[in-house]
Amino acid sequence: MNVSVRELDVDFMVFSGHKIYGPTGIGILYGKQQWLDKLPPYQGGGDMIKTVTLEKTVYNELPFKFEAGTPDIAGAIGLAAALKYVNAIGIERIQATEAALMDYAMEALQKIPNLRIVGQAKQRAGVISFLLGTAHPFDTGELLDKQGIAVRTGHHCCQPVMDIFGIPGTTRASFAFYNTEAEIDALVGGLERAAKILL
Amino acid sequence: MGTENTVHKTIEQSQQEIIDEFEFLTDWMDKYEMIIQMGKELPEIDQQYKVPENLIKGCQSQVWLHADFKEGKLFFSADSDALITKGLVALVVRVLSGHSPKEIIASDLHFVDDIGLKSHLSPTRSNGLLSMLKQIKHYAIAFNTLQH
Repeated sequence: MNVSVRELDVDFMVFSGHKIYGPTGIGILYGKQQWLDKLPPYQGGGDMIKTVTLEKTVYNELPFKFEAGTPDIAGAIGLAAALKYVNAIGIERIQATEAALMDYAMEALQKIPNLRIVGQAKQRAGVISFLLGTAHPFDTGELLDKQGIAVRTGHHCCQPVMDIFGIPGTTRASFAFYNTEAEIDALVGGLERAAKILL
Repeated sequence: MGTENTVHKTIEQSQQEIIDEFEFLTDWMDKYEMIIQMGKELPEIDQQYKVPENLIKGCQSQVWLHADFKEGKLFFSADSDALITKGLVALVVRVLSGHSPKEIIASDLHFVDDIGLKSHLSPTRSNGLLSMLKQIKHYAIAFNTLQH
């Protein structure tokens, strides 16, 4: 969804480039100028200083004050390209496509015997966590992997939640706008084959 | 202990046997199915040994490994909460259980490479398997030292 930092009146906002099809290792930090001016630099290096005398160091202006040393040039160009790409397709269109894929996947997955969807969020977006019978999520994931289907397995950086559910982790399928219904069919087929071996 | 069938075979013979069994299957899903089946057939570890001290470090899923030293030979029993891992454990137990510490220390474990497992396993599983083999060699070194 589109987010307006002005409408929300946020002081700071961050996001990672790889979440929007951009390169890894780069992200965006938005901050209100009044706060960024007050914040001292967290790192020293080239280009972050305006003048230095024995008495006084004057830091460079924003954003250079926080961009010490050689910048991640390739990363920045890559992230800009990714943002242009996503904007050209359109956030609403991406959202609608992903929502349709999610509905299709939820319906198809629920038909698999012994498959349990973990979490029942009303406004589910992007991912479906599940368990196949008593099979360990790593086993399910590995057998899907062997069939050319990439999913994530484990506790997904939220171990306390896994403790609440009383499970070691989940297998998790996520969808991007370029995924297809045929790929979801392949996931279902892959899970049925894995179930035959594991259960 | 599930080691009776390995007692009269050398480590090399057991490795060759596994290599032959895997060669017979061409589809990796079938190979995985066999690994899982081996895991299901692995005799249960005595519950008293399923303790944190017996957990192998470096495994993403939980693996318990216990070593028994009887009449100059090491016998291993093990378990895991994940089936593929348990199958891998079963392979290792089958090759190494029932041999003297000296034999285990001197063994060249090439079957993992030869059956193509190393390149097919996910890196975390592959590392876990290596940790397991290392732990077994450590047991062997420790019991070998105790003997003398």
